[in-house]
Amino acid sequence: MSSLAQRQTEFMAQLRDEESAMHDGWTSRHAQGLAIYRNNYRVTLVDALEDTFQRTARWVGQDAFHQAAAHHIIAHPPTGWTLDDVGHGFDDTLAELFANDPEVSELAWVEWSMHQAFGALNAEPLTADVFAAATSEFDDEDWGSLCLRFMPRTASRIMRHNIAAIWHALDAEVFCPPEFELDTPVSCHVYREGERPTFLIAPASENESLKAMMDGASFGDIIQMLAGQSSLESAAAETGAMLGRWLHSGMICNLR
Amino acid sequence: MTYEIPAFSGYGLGLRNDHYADFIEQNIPVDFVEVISENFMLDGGRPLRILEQVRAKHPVILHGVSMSIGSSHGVDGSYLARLKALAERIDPLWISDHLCWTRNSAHNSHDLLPLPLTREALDIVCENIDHVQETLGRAILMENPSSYLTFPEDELTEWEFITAMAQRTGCYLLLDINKIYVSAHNHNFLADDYIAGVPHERVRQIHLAGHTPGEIIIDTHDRAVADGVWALYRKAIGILGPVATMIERDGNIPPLSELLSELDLARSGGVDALPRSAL
Repeated sequence: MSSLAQRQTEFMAQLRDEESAMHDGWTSRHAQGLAIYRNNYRVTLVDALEDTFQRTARWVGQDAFHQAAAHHIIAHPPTGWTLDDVGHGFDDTLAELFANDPEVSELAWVEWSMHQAFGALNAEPLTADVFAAATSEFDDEDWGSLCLRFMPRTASRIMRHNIAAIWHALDAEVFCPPEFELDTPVSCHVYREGERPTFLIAPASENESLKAMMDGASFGDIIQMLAGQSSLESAAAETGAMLGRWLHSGMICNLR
Repeated sequence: MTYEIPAFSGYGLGLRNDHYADFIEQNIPVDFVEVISENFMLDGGRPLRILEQVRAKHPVILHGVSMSIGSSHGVDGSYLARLKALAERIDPLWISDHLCWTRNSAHNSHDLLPLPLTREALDIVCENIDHVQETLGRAILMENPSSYLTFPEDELTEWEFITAMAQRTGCYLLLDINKIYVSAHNHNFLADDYIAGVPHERVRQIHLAGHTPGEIIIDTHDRAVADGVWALYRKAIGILGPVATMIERDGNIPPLSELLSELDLARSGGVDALPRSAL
């Protein structure tokens, strides 16, 4: 290792760990300087997390958020060149730290997914008219093999809490704690509508179906998948309803 | 291979989120805008659309904070590919970054960390700049750092380091007058010696910014330019002649009108200080 590489390894360790020993020959003046770099490091990363997870911060409160952010930075120091990636895995960190408040990590997942969608590739959503024209001559076989492309960085997961209610309550001028427990889980799809990331709450079964179609499954595959839980007829109807919802919401950008 | 950057003089501002609408909807009296490259190194979305709209009205400088030109293990290839793609899309006036390091082989600090001013570090920085310039197919500007500590192993002054770096690589310089002021105070050297010591013909841009005073001055960019920095700027312009000058504000962002007033001070101060031969 070159002496510069050695120096940079030691300096990085000192940034991350306040208990790390000072170099021989360093003075109290060096310690003062190092303290400024340590503070810059921490503040930059915590600010980046707070910027990405603004609603999560409001939901748990500033102090609790800052503690969680500090924990995340220590446990998962950044590796990539972009500050945008600092929030990667923060929802998992929150799931551990707020084990008794699982809505916190669900809210953070939505914010992180929206953050990812914000800078995603541009794509035009497929309109209902264009879709209808493209599929007007379809026979049963064509429908069965139909595959879809979704808006870049579309994401989906199961939610066990009413994240939409939390989201809107946090947006209100006067915060009024909402009822957020759900009797049954739902799917939450995140995608970008124009330049604005958004989310859609849908029946729980859509989560698995959407992920499968994003991975290349066909319309027919989804019908077969759902038919395992109900009749073929109702599976086909459910898949058709899903397709209509995705199309209407602007989540589909092309057929493939 | 050497690349040339023609001289360009004028007065500009950093484009910040708070002022996007102003720059798109109005004709802001600036000669250029500078953006933080990394904020636009995205696949798509609103930031790129805004940058393209601003670019249609003003020359744009791409100013980076994550190149990590002083990293002992080289510059990140994926970073450079993204930067090159952005440059091809925006056709910037030039590309700049800082003489510092931000990451080692394992982690990224996302801060501009100080380099030991050694011959070994100089070799590594020059090798990295050569690689960046060859990859981008253009010369870059390197900005002098501000720092809060020096290393016992230092062998060169910062201006000796910068001079050798510019001579060996053919890179150009972005001289941050506030950073010189900050480091001169923190490390007890004369700012005049620094300005006299850098290769004047390589300077293509000047940054002016505010700092937080104290026993160690911190380069915070969150307030107006200090009187001492204005005085140093006038001296620098007196020596360098007309150089593209920019007010750089990153925190406590005021209304655009306030920054434009501050930029007017640079205009008048710069013109007053110009050597007669440049008028």
